[in-house]
Amino acid sequence: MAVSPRAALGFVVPLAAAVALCVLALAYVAPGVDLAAMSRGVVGPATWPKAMLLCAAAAAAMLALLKVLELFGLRSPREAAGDGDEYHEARSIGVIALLIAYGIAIPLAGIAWATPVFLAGWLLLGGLRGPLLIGLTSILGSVGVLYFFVKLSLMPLDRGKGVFEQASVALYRLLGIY
Amino acid sequence: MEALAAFAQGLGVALQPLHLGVMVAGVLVGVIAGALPGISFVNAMAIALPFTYLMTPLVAMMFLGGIYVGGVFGGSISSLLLNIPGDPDSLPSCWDGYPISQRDGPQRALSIAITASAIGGLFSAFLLAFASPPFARFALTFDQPEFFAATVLGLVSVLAIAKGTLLLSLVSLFLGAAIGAMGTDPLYGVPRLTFGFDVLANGIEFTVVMIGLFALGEVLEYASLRLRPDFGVRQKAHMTVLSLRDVWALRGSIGRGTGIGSVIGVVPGAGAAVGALVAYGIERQVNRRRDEFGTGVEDGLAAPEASKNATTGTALIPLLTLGIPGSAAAAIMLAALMLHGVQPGPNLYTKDPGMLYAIFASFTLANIFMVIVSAGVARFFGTLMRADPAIICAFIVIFSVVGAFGVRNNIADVYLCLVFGVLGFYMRRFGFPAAPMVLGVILGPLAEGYFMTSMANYADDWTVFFTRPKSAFLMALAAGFVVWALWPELRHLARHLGDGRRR
Repeated sequence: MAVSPRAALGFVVPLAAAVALCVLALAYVAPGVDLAAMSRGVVGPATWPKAMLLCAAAAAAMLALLKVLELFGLRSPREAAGDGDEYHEARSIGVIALLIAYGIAIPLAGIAWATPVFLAGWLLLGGLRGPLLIGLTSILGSVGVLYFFVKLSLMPLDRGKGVFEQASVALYRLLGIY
Repeated sequence: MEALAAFAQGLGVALQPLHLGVMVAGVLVGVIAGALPGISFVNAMAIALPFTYLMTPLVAMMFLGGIYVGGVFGGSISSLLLNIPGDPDSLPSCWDGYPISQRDGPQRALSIAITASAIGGLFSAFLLAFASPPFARFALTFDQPEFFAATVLGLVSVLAIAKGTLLLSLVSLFLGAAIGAMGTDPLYGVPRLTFGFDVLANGIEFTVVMIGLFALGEVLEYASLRLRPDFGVRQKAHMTVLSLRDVWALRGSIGRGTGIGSVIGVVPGAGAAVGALVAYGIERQVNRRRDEFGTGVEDGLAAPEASKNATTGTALIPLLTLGIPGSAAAAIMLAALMLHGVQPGPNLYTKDPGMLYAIFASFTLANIFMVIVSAGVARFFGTLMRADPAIICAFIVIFSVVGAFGVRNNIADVYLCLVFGVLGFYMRRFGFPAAPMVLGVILGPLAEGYFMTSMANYADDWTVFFTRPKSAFLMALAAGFVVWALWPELRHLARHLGDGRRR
């Protein structure tokens, strides 16, 4: 079983990034704190996180090395990884972007307004094309979410800022939630 | 006798309308989530976790326990009707179960599966109720070094089942432990790994990590797949419990499966998938019709079905007696208890035995109600499959986001959840197991706490972990797990060296 360069690199790059992150984090475990003065014997507040970061970096480095050896045919592949062909790249970037946009929109527009827009976007990306189905699912789904979480569970979900907050309150009153 | 009386009392509590209703609702959610290919019951448990804030610890455990029991079986419905396992633990059910479904109709296959699962689950629930209290009494003699050793055992046992992905699991586990160390150190009050972000000073809630890695990661993966399977089910599937004569005919495979599952359930890190695979493998070795396996042998379906549900009760023994979750599902239950300030461990058996026996009784009842609920879900499975997965995934995202927000009513937790969701997606994509990271996030701080207090109590003498007999035994067991996990690599290396010498 040969390892394709794309699959191996797709594996090595995140591992190298993990090693770099761990090494970087080691320098920032507790900046500005005199850890030596706080340590008692062999242990101190930074002992555990440093040990975990070192172990993570060592394991990731070893794994990356083994993958490089596999890439050059110096070792038979042991730990298989998909080459990513089963994923639709554009859609995967689209859903991640939509998810991040939803997260950013919640404190600005409030959950009441961000949710139907997110639902409509997600359903479109998911391949649904019927405007009635998308519209009904988005609106009724959002109303259901608001009733369940705000009215029944009394969760103080974000109402947004400025006009969005006023619009959220007005919507809650209209729906009988407030 | 005392245990029986306590169990009867627990049964009375579990049968109260609210408790019973919550448990049945959990079973329903679990069976549906398990039956839907691409949506795991662990996903459902992770989403449900923040909502257990609104419940008492007992009700939360009943709800999550219901999802767990129902979810472990639920995957078999799609295995038997579609030949697509709803969850990894239902894979062996496809091998002989689907041919039975094709040959004798889905009713026969479903009836064997539900009967075997219920028997395995009931036996396991009884073991949990009657075997865990003596074990907890023994664990009461533990001090900090023993708890540290037990936590180390829990951490390394993740590796024991990660054969073939050992280093990947290690990276995931250590990164999880590092994430768990973020925030203000409880002993010294020093903020660690906060990178200047105030939001990280309180640490990262493991609930948020779980929702992100499991629920969002899974949904993102499903939404990104190029090809999605066609889940067209046209017929209605009826399910009944097997007659006593049929059960008697399958007694060998059900008995073996139940025994294997009950033992595997106790092993931290193993769980239902390993239980089902091992039971199928052993049944294939010992059954007199072993040569026909794969063509629709009923014993080949009964054994893994009994085994996977037999892991559910015993999997809670290390969780409740030592506070060590051995699987992602158990980790979520630990999180639910900790959210309410309940620390599982031997002391819980003396402090609140009433709650524990009510949980045991609820687990037992869940295995009975699983039969009724599964029959209903199987009947309407075709209708369920007509729901577009995009709609289901969209609502999972919303429930996950609201759930993450609800943990501390803080938008920062939503951002962290999204970050872990994207991370979970890429981990799945590159074959990094997410469960070790979650266990690292949960067990890491526990291990650190036990380690630091051991060092403080025993004059910074680290040999204490190896000189106290019980601690040394647990450490040796942990070392045994590591050797077992490394065994294929060591054998490969030895063969390689042997070949070199011969040349």
